[in-house]
Parts: sequence; C-alpha cells; structure tokens
Amino acid sequence: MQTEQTESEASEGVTEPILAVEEVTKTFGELLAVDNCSFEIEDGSITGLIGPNGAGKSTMFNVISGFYQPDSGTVRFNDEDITGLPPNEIAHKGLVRTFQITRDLTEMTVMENMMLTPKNQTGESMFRAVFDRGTIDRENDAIAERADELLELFQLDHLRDEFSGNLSGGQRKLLEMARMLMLEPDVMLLDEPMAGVNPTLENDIVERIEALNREEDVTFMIVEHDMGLVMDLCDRIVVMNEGTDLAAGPPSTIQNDERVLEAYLGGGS
Amino acid sequence: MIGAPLQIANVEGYLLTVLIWVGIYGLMALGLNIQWGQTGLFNIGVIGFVAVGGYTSATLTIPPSSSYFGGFGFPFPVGLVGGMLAAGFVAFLIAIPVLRLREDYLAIATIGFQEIIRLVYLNEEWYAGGPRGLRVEAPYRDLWESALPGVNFNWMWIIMLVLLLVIFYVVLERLNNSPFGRVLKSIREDEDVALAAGKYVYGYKMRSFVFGCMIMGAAGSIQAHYIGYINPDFFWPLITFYVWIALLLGGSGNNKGAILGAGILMLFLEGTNLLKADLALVSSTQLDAMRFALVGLLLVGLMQYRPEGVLGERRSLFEGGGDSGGSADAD
Amino acid sequence: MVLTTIIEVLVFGLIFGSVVALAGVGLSLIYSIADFPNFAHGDYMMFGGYMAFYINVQLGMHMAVAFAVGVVSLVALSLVIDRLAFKPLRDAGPVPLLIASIGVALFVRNLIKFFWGTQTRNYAGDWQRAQEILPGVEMTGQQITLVVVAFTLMFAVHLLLSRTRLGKSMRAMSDNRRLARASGIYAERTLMWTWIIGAALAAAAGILLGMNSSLAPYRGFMILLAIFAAVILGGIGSPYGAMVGGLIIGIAYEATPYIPGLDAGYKFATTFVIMIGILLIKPQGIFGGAVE
Ligand SMILES: Nc1ncnc2c1ncn2[C@@H]1O[C@H](COP(=O)(O)OP(=O)(O)O)[C@@H](O)[C@H]1O
Ligand SMILES: [Mg+2]
Repeated sequence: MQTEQTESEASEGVTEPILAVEEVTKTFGELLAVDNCSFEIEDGSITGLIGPNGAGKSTMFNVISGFYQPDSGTVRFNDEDITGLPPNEIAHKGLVRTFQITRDLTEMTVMENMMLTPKNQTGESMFRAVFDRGTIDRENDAIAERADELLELFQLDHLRDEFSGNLSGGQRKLLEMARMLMLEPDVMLLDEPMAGVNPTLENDIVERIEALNREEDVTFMIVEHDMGLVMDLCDRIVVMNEGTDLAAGPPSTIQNDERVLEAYLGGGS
Repeated sequence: MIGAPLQIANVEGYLLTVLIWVGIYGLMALGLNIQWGQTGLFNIGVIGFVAVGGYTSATLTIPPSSSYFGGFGFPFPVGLVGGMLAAGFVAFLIAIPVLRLREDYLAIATIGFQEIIRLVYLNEEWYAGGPRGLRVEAPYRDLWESALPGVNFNWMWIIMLVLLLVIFYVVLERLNNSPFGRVLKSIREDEDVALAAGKYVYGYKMRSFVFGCMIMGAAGSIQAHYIGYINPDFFWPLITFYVWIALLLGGSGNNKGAILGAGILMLFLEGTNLLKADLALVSSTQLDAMRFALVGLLLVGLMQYRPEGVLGERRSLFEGGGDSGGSADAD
Repeated sequence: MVLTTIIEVLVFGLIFGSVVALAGVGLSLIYSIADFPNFAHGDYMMFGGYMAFYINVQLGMHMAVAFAVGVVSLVALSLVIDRLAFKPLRDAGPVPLLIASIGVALFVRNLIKFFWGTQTRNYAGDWQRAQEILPGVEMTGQQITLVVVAFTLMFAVHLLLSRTRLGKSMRAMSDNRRLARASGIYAERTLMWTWIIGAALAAAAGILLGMNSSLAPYRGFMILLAIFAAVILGGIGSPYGAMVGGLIIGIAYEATPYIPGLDAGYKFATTFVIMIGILLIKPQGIFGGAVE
C-alpha cells in the first residue's frame, strides 16, 4: 500500500525536492536578470537548465549558491531556507557549484587544488598548522588518497603535480568538478561544463556525471546548450526565458512544448 | 674640491649596523609577505604597524615619568610581545572595515591609516612626547658588557634578529605548507573559488593580515630599542615603499626572498649612500634626491621587467601573467 | 560669534576645497579611464607648482606666464611618463600600475628636491592684503583668485565633458571599465587626452595651492590623501562628484579644529575617516552610478 503510493507519486514526479527555488527575483540596476522564477529539483535526479543566452541561468546559479543576494524570493535546500547565506556556508551544507568561465587556481598544482576543498581540516587552524604537524600529515594522507581516486576517475592522475594553469580548457573543467567533489556534495550545479570541450572529453564528462549520479548519489543541475545532449542526459528539464521559468518537465514533454520551441528554439542562438 | 675619501672609522661597527637594518627590514618584509605574497592583501600601510609596535614596546619598557604615558619598566621581552600584540590589535580594528574592500581601495585605505597613526603619535604629546618622542634603552647592555667585555654590543642585536628571523621563517613556512596556507593561496588566486570551496574568506584574510602586522610590530620594537629613541619621523610612508621594494626584489610569495630582498635593498641604499662622500659635484640633499628618484625608477622597472621578483613565486598577482616585458605597445 | 566661525569654516573650506576639487576631477578621470589610482597625482601638482615658481621667482616673470608654463610643462611630463612607465603595463591590470605610480611619485618628488631643495617656497608678489568679504570674514587677493580660477576651470571641464565629442567618449570610457581596457586608436587617443586634461588641472591646482600657502616637495603627497577622499566620496569617474566631494572634504578639513578632542593636526585624518565611512556605506560614492 505504502510502496504503491510512493511509486505513484514518483511517476507523477512529486518526490520530495532537494532544492526548491521559489519566486526568486534579481535585478542589476534597471535590468531584470531573474524575474519571479520558481522550480524544484528532485533528489537523485539530473536536471537540465536551458534557455537562450541572457535568460538568467548563470544569475540563478549565483543566487542559489549565495554569490548574489536575490531581491526577493527564497531558496530552500533540504527543507532549509538558505536564501542569503554566504557561499561558503551553502557549500558546506552540500550544495556546490562550478563557474561558467572556469576559475583557476593557476599557481597551485592539481593536487593542491584537490586538497584545498575538504572541510574542517585541522591544519586550517594557524596554531595547529604550526604545532601539530603529525595530525596534519595524517589528514593530508587521507585526503590525498581520496583525491587520487577522484583524479583517476577524471583521468587527471598523470597531471597530479602539474600547475593547474598548464592544463587544457577541458581538463580545467574536469579539475573544477573534481575539486568540488572533494566536498562530498549532495547537489552540484554545473554551469556549462561542456562548453569549449572537445567531443572525446565531452563524452568523458557525461560518463562521470552519470557515474557520480548512480554510484555516489549526487544530484545534478546542468546548464548546457547542446539540446541533444541535454535530452539524453537529463531526467528533467527546466526552461528559463527572460529571467523566468517558462516550462519544466521530462525531456519528451519539453521537446514538444510550443512555448519552448517558440522562445528557445525559434529565437535561440 | 676633491671628494673626501671614504671614512669609516670602524668597519666592523658599520657592517653590523647595515646587517641590523637588513634584519629589521627583513622582518617587515616577512610580515608583508604573508599578506601580499601569500594572500594577495594590498597593504601599503606597513610602517604604521611598525610604529605601533615600536611605541608600545617603548611605553612598556621605559621608566615611569609624568612627561609621557606610563613608563611601565617591564623587561624587554614584555615590550616585544606587547608591541606585537598591539600592532596586531590595531591591525584587527583597521581590518574590520577595510578587508572587505577591493584591492585598490585597500591600498588607499591602508596608506591613509598609516598616516593617521603617525598623526596620532605626533599630536598626542601626553602619550609619547609628540614630535620629541621617547628615549628607549637598549636591553641587556650591562649583561653583555660584563659577560663579553670588548665585544661590540651590536652583536647582541644580530643574535636577537637572527633568532627572530629564524622563528618567524619557520612559522611562516609551516603555515605556508599547511591547509591554512593552501586556503591563503586560493584566496590570492581567486577569492570566489575559495568561497565556492566553502572557505570563510574574510576570516582567513583577517588572520593573515593580523599576523603579518604582528611581525611588523616586532620589527618596530627592535628598531626602537636598537636606535635608542623613537619619534614620528621614523615613520614616513617612504619606509613602507622600501619594504615593498624589498619584497618585490626578493620575490613575492617567497619567505627566503623577502629576507634576501631586504639585503639587496640595504646594499643599494648603503652603496649609494657611500657615494655621497665621493661626489662633490652635487649637494648631499641632491644626492639623496637622486637616490630616492632611483628607488622610484626601480619600482617602475621591477613592475615592467620582473614583477615576480628575483626568487618570485607569484605571477598571477599580475593578471597579465606571462608578458611582463615592456613591449606591450599596440601601435 | 558662532555664526562667524561657521562662515569662516565654510569660506576656508571653500578655498581648500576648490584646490582639492580641481585636482580631484583630474584624478577621478584618470582613475576611471586609465583604470588605476595614480599615486603620483599629488607630486604632479607640486611639479606644476615648482615650474611656475621657476618662471615667476627665478626668472621674475608675470604670474600668468608662470601659470601657463607650469601647466604646459606638467602636461608634457605626464605624457612622457605615461609613455615610458605606464603604457608598457597597460594590460597588466591595476596592481602593477598602482605600484608603478608609487615609483613615479617618488621619482617626481625627488626631481623637485634635486632642483629646488626641501625648503618651502613662495611665489613673488604681495597681494596678501585681506579684504572683508563678509562681516567678520576676510579673504586675501590670492584666495579670491584661487576660488575664481578653480571654479572657472571646473566650469570649462564641464563644458568639455558635456559639449564635445572628446568629452562624450571620455564619459563612455569612464562608465565602462571594460571598454576602457579594449584598446584601439580611439581609446588610446581618449586616454592621452585624459592625461592632458588631468595633468593640466593638477598643475593648476598645485599652483593655486602654492599661491595660497606655499610649495614643499612633500606637500603633494600629503594632499593626495585628501584628494583621494574627495574622489571616492564623489564616486570614481564622476567629475561632478569629485567637485562636490572636494568641497565637502575642504569644509571637513577646515572644521576639524572645532571638533571636540581634535586639533588642527588632525585635518587630514578627518578627511580620511570620511572616506573610509563612504567606502563602507556606499562604495560607489555619492554620485557613482556604475556597479562593479
Ligand atoms: N553582474 C552583473 N551585472 C549586471 N548585469 C548582469 C550581471 N550578471 C548578469 N547580468 C545580466 O543579466 C542577464 C542574465 O545573464 P546570465 O544570468 O548570465 O544569463 P545566462 O547565463 O542565461 O546566459 C543578462 O542580461 C546579463 O547581461
Ligand atoms: Mg550563463
């Protein structure tokens, strides 16, 4: 009886959302970048966020992750209101993001990049950093082990000691994802992870995302312009246009939604 | 008129003096290195924190008197530690508003606070004698002279400075090679990445800034006790630029480089100073002007040709990165 | 009694403020168009002032000639310096430019020391006789000239910015820092004119400052802090903001001795505290529009 109900709910797509955006508005001076936008992301799903250039997708990510303060509206994560929290606190709650334009720590090695992120490291205290080298070494070893696993998964292990500034564009995207995975997030927001990446690497990234979703139960929201790819990869799609949510649903519905065709495919780039 | 030959009566004494100044500037440069070299904090108010360290240390150690505040007669180590703590505390107060600012505003704000600090010591005569300043005794002189009669007392300062430099060097290196140091580096490279990675950036900046200023405070304490007096004239902004030059020469981000840079700086300053005796064509004011003009050119040249310094680690400090050469002309 | 004090503060604030405003307009334009805070601006002022001193006192020529030569020579110097020191760093971002400008500041200040020494200098001419302009408030001929010249020049800048094509492109470049970076002959030309105008105003401000008090090599750097305060108060890139900011700073400067617990020694400190306050409350300044 209970199982049935859950199943029927699931088939209707009303499982508990892990992330809910409610009527968010964000302006820059006169410009309405996000306009009363609402959507939800189901736990364990891969959701696509699409829309023409300037639709407000990146701005939405910045609001969710705490980099921008919304003018109004709320962001709920795991049933908790996280609106207006600083980015570092949101990240520590398990909601992480990557940037549309990859942000580099160019003068740090790939390994240093990876070891930066884990939270609550003993050696982040100045006192312990100077006087408790033993604990730090032990922790570093444990973190490095996890980092090596991820680097292998992302096929960056041979670049372990390279400065990240020397990596190719695609490798940097991978490194950024891997770096954020060191936080063991529940939800990852990826802003155009495949832009400017060659097709082979693109396939790799898609595989990594699917594997992480399957095996480590990471929920994804992905901004991507390649419609074919989005339709294949995502369970659900949210369409934004002119700052607001235009439609949301499974790929098959979105593909045939006339408003979407008009706004996005018709006028799109 | 023929220039008078170099007259350095006491070569040992002279070299010791130069070395002591290398040590004092080396300390300041180490303090600046954790701020700018490791964290990317643009502090051009260095000498203000040196002043706080020096004045506090003086007040804590000199004998009581009605002509200035206190005079607490504590032993020198209390003055040194007190000076560091006071510099750190003032840094903390200044940092609360200022650390949130963009780097160019941070530069303007720190240079302004440096000037305000100097003005306070200049104007509050009740505190430390205003323009007259305070006399400060060198510590351990009697002890030294009875234990090592005939040995130049300045060796005491050398020993003390080497000790302090080694201690701070080790501490800074350990910080640098720790998760704490990793976060500082990530902040200097890209603050937003550090935030996205869950780091409380403001807190790290604060700790880096305060600790750097405490080292500057230590330099101030040594300087005051070594010279034997302290007054606002020691704390003109020019000194801050010396420290910057030392760090930039040695290479931002590199603790050894910071000390080496202080050495190069003193070689330059003393070398040009020695010329004074030999060039009778210009007055000594003019010679000084030429030296300082050269210091200015040195800064410009460093930016154009070697922004990463002699032992430099940082390149991304300068967004343009690789092309540091003077050939960026578009026409 | 109190009223006289207030009027006096306002009048003297106006005098100092017009110097700050005049220099601030140039600094503000350079800050937003060349995209870095030029720490040599105060020393530029002094250079203009000393060149005028050379003409006026050492060569004994009329102050008007001295004024013109001071302006022209500083414009020339600033263009040479831009070419040699700043241009190679144009793509390197604001920090290397800022550090280089500190180097330039040291260089120019010591150039002055080399030629004119460290003592304070005054222009020739004796028009110090004070006239009563308001009941109980006196101004000297120099002070009246200073205010008139400063406001005339600022009005000229206003005409230039609002009526000419050059002004339009300067405003466009200062509104949009990205555009300012995008080089090209057009941008280079606008930048060159920005230096010319900025330097001319700096020289004028330096000469007026010297007329009103005296010249000293270090004075430029001291007053630079007040000018930065005015620029940030008014909003970087806003010439009108710098004018208003300059006057506010000038009044705060002169009002300092009347603030309980402070004396004249803290004049610069007051202006600076105001600036920090603005940075915290409204970092884009009173008139600054563009959001970073
Ligand atoms: N920091 C900002 N300041 C001003 N306008 C911005 C800023 N960020 C984005 N915008 C504007 O907001 C709108 C939405 O941009 P964005 O969120 O980047 O769209 P998308 O990612 O969907 O392409 C655009 O018009 C863009 O120019
Ligand atoms: Mg985008």
